[in-house]
Amino acid sequence: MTGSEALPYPSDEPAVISGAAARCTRLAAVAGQVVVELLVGAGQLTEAWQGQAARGCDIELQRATALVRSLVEPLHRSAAHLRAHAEVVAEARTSVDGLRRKYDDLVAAHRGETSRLLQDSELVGPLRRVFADDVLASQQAELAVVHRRHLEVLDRVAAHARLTARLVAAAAGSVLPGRSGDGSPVSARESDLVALLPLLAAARRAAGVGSSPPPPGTPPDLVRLWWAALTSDEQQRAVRGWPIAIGALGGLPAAVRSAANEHRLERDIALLLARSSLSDDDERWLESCLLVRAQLARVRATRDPDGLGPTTAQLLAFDPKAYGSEGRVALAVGDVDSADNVAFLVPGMGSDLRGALADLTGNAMRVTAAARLDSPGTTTATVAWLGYDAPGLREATLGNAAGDGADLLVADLLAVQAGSAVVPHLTVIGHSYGSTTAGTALRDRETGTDDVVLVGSPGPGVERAKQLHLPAGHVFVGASSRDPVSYLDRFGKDPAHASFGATRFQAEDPTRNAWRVDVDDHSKYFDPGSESLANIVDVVTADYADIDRAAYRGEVFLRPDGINSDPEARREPAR
Amino acid sequence: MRWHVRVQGDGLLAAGSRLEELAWLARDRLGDCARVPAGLRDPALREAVRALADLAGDLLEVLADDLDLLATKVRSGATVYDHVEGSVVRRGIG
Repeated sequence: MTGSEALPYPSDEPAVISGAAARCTRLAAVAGQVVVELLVGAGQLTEAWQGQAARGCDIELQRATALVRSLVEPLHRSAAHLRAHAEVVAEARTSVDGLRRKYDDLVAAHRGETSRLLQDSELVGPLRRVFADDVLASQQAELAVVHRRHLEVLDRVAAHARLTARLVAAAAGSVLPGRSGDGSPVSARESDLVALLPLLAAARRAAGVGSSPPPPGTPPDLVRLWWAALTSDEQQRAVRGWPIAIGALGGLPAAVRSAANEHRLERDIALLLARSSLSDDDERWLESCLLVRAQLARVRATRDPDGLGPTTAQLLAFDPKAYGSEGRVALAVGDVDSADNVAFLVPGMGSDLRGALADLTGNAMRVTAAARLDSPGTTTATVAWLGYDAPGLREATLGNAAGDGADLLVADLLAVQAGSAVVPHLTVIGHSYGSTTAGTALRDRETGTDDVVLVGSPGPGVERAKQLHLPAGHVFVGASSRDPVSYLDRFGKDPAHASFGATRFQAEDPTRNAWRVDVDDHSKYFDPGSESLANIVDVVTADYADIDRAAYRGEVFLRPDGINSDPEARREPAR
Repeated sequence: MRWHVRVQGDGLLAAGSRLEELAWLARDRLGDCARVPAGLRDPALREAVRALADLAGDLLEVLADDLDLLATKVRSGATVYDHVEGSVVRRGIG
């Protein structure tokens, strides 16, 4: 073993400690610069504005200036302590270097002495061994002295590090005016600082800062104000402290809601995995959580087709126990906050989290990826929205599932728009009974939607496209001639008829049934490479000129020869 | 009670801009605070330096919020003043 192996340096390097000192000094310089600028600004303000309100601002500025000024000296002081510690460490390293040399010299001398003894032919064997033992004992004693000195050096450095830590803590403790500077741990929260600034404190009180998040249903504008009034630390604490409330709060950026919902997701999983036994309900809960986690990972494992890195996945809504544990989830493929285009996929009957999320996420991934390829200059986020209690056949017929779902859909559409940094081109895509839910939402409420796509629709809850309150030409219909559900006319007019007033696009699938309607053809609208998917994407990216229009249906479904009367029935689908 | 109010719209706007720039400067340095303890290994020393840097970061962030608020107030005050001044001039008062 060499000296450098046997005798390590102190854990910190002088250059690193000096670097921390330099950063403290630079921060102090910035704080000093801000103080000077604040004084100039206050003078400028006083010059231009006098009166009671001006005095209020002036007092606030004076307080702010005092606050920043209180930072300058402690930072300089801390920098000096750190520099002193860096010197101590540097000296310690020099000492260690000396000890290492000494160590290596001792080892070399021992080797030389031992070698000389071995080669000395005049020494008889036993005597040679006695001499060698003496040499070894002597060397061990001398090495022990070196080790002891090395430990003393390290102890000296550790003690100085503790002293420096106390001095830096004391400096931090003296930052806020009125603090004792006794070296007690600094736990100042932003609220301590804000309390010293009356106008800011009043503004934060007015925005509701300091209490729990605003209750559900608070207008998104107020939520946004509340969020903006929090400091970044407070925002992080809110995400960790109230993940359920934050995750469901419309008006917050999608990334924030996603962070909260994912925090909740991981917390739920940890909670459930820690239990020794699970009830049936708990089993479903855990299954839902693991499925959502897997879908998020699935999206993030893909690359943006335009080469912008991993695809973003956001968990906009998550409540695994909603609707009798069927679950509520909204998973976005793409960054909703910054996307130029946002599309919501609204699924139909019987769609619940465990049964439909994987397929719906796959559809969303295809829409986002195809939109990116189709329109490389723009970004698209597609939301797999399992946000309502999708009914079974009986509930769909007898109940008001579409109306209840419409309320939830509208809330989520408005929430996305309120939290987004840009105004996205917003498309709602309803499949099957999802088109009834989407149509009901657009019929009854202001949604901010630009386009709606109805695919495989059993009726969109209205008789005419204009009842959806969109400009003419912004209601689109995809209806495969082989899809039996699309002929039902059950929840409003079949939108593939000319009299409905929508734009019908081509949606025949190459794998469609050869000659008759087939329930399998109800689920092919998002198939990879299909003309339906291409046309849906053209709507999502507002590329209206590229949409392949289809002829409208006649009023009669089956002709006397039993062949479907849809003019699309005889057209060969694009491949 | 008589209130004395004197306002120079241009001066207010300039002051508002200065406050806004300072808010930006303060916010821009938040990342520097996070980097202060980088590389330190001694646990006690690292914790103390981190606490100081956190405090500096919190202070700069609160300051930036405060300056943004003041800048908004000052700017809106200037706008109101310009509006009032315009009305006064149009009506030939004073």
